[in-house]
Amino acid sequence: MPEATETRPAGLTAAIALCATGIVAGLLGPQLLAGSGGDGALATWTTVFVSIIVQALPFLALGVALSAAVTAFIPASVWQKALPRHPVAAVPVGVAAGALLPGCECASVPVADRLIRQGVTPAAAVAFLLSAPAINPAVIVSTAVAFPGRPGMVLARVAASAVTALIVGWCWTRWTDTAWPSVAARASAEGSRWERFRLTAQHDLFQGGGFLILGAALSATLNVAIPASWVQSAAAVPVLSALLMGLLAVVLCICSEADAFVAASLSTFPPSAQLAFMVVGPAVDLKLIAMQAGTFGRSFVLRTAPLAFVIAILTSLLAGSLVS
Amino acid sequence: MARTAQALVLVMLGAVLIRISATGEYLNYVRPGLGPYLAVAGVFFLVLGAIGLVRDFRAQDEARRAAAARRAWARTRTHGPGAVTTPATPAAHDHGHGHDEWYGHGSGWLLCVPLFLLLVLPPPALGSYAAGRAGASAPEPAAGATYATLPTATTLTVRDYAIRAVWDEGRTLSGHRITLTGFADTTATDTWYLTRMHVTCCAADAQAAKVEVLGSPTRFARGQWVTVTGTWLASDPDDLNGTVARIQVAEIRATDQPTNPYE
Repeated sequence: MPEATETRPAGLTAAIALCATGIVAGLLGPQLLAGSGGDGALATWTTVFVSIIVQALPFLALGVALSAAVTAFIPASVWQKALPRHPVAAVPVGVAAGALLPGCECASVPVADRLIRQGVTPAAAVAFLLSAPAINPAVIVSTAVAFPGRPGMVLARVAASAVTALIVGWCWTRWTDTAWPSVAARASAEGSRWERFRLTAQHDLFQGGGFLILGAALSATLNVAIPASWVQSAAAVPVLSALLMGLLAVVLCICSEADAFVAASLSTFPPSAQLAFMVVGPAVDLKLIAMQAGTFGRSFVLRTAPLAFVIAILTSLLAGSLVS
Repeated sequence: MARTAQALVLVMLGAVLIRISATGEYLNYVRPGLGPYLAVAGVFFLVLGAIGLVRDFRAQDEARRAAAARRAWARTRTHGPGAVTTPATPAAHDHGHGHDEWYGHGSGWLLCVPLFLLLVLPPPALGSYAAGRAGASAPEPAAGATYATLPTATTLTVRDYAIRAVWDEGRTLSGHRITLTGFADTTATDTWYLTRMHVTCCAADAQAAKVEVLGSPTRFARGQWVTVTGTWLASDPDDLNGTVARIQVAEIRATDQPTNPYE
């Protein structure tokens, strides 16, 4: 019965593997955790790891729902009409569109991916990708709450993030050699609109979700490994402190609605360094790098992440010098 | 990763999200405001996965039935009168492979890791290990923070108390009976702190707030949850430049971990 062996493995093997893993984890897990004292480094690691994922999942759900809606319900012609024909002019529109999506980083990756598949110029989609988590109503409010009586910080953050998104987007208008995902993906072609919505959402969720887990694991490791005292020691050095805070933002993967509070709590740092933390974080962090690598490929990340990091640091230094 | 396997993981992920949202377990990981969104995301995943499973199984069923019909037909053709010798091509074969190719990311399996963690060994709330990594200084308030006057006997968050005690030099605290709840964060010396983690979004951004407890008749085990009622005591200028908040115990008792372990 050759047909049976061909159609079954997908579901059945998966079910067996899942059950087996569950049983093994259930048998060994508690011993492992107890071995670390119940409240040791390992337990702290699992808490931080799971927290980052639990925090990200509702935003990822929103992101894949939007990306699936973009694919299933909005005809590609809409984008051609709505966006300026020339990529250089389309980039600012991408930045502005990002300001309207009240989501964290995880939501913008699948949406940007689908926009490119629908024929939106990649440069504008990249600008959207960088601006969506950095500039939106929720982030502006939380920054204002974290820095009461200092509207300059809110303004500086928005300006630095917008400029970063613009510059990186414009750089992508020059890099036209990248092979982007083909406009008509196979699964999006089959079935009714709702069926297309369902398949796209499922595909994007697993494409982004798997890498989100990797990023969260790495971030949790560094979160537990880096002593807090290291961070404080660099506060006094002007440019180095901004660089260090930028790196810290990459490593810690704190979502953009919370990072202002963490930045505000590091009050021994100059405003430029606090800004670097808030401008770099939403544009480049381990979780995002992992998700982008899974969605857009490695060459995309190798170009975008370093570029966005450098520009974010420079704009933060500039904005910080104007604020203080 | 096969499409049906994805659907299976989706169903379980959705169920786990709904569960931690309903039981309040999610409070160990994220801020309270996220609860309803977790439930909505859970239902979304569950429905998405369930429809996927039903559709995929139905499609497989149909493919199998079609193949069986083709075989039966082929048998009559090869063995019956006027037999043809070429066997029918199994169309189901191409179908199955098309999916695997397109859904080919193996990384999707990683979603099972947090799933199993939450199902079989839910990670505990951040405790004394995480707190022990932070210094004992009171968190610094935002510049220009103001402090509202308090009733004579009141309950405060550990963070609020620590900030008022150090950065407002106890002006709104002296002469008041204050109740605080946190866990015991002991050190190698006799000094111990009542500690509570402050979470803005998720446990990754947690910050510790500590208050040194003086005059406690009992020494609690590390990590034990404790409720203290007492009065403000000026900070010791020699201890971290006077940035450590202190409380003089009037009453102290062990308690259970609150539903929301953070504040």
